[in-house]
Amino acid sequence: MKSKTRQVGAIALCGALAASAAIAQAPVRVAPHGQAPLDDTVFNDGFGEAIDVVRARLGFALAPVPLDMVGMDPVQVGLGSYLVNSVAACSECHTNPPYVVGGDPFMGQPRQVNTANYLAGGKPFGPGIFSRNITPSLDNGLPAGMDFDTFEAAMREGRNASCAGEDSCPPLQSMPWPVYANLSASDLRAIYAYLSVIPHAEPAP
Amino acid sequence: MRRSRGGWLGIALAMFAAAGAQAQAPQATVTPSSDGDSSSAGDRERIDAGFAMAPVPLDLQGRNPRLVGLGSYLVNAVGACLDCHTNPPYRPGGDPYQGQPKQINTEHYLAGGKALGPFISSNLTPDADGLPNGRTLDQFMTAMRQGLNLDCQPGDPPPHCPLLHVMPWPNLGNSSDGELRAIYEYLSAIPHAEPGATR
Repeated sequence: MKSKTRQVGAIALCGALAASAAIAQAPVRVAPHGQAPLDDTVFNDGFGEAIDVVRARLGFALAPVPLDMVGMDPVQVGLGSYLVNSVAACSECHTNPPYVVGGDPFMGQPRQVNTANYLAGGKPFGPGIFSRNITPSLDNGLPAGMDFDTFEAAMREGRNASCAGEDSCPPLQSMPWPVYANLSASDLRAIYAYLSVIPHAEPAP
Repeated sequence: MRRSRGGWLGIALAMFAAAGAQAQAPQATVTPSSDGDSSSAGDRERIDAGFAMAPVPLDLQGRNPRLVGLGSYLVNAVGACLDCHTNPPYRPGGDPYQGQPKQINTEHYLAGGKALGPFISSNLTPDADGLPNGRTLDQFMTAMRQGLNLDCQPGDPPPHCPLLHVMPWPNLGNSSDGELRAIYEYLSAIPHAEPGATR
């Protein structure tokens, strides 16, 4: 029993290292909607350290757009994609509309994300309030045009970059920044990394 | 389905349980952890943070504390469940959207009752039997993955039936079984509450 456990541990270690190195190319089992999109090979090996690697692999399977991975840490980007495209549900507010015609799961249709306007904002949330375009800006290539510090201030303090420094600059509305203030530093970095590698997009007219 | 159950067992093993295996095979752990804790460094941080940020007392009796902690992190840092499922989310004078120091409405925490267009958010807190929203884990998974409104009877008309609206289940349903289980475990551990008055 002991030697078997060791063997499993060694396999898990090798598997995890291989997954780290080749994560972007790794074949990922994409489950049909309504089932767990769960890659269970690493889980089943009992290899706890690799959990974010597994999340990252799920994240790559969930990303609905091509990612520019040059120079990027795949585990970080994949984890960011996992958070953005699962629990945080960013596209529900930051993609307008979130799903293409005929692909709206809320109407019982097979889910098809609106990739043309993915995370490009423009969805109305009350008078004068629209979700922001959080894709990389054409000017500087940064998500929503924000460097990480500006992004962090928006995510943790609700700082509105559009009026920062002006006399009257109320905090961001609708955006759940009082919740995201609780994100770990590494998860916030992962989200920023993912938003940095998605394609620029414009909101639908 | 069998694979997914296997994975579910697996995540429990990998993230939370494997103390026995770790004790026998410490070389399986490349983390700085030497305490037999097989959670990844990232999840230990998330679990600790989850307990620190939970705004209500948690009943851990009979529950897996790591799942509860991770679930709290997912609910209170990533998922923003509170914004729709607490009415109102913040106390008078504690509304961060008005520039006030954040004070969560703990009295009605996750008890639903918020109007979202024609829809009213559900009470996610445990019922008298201790089940969050009165649902078993299987029912919760079905609701999250398929968006089924479990309050509906066959033939109930749209828009309220048969699918959930507003609730971002098409995204949440992308979560791994482990994450959904953690969220369920956290929702099982919070106190029962009744919705705040709808305004």
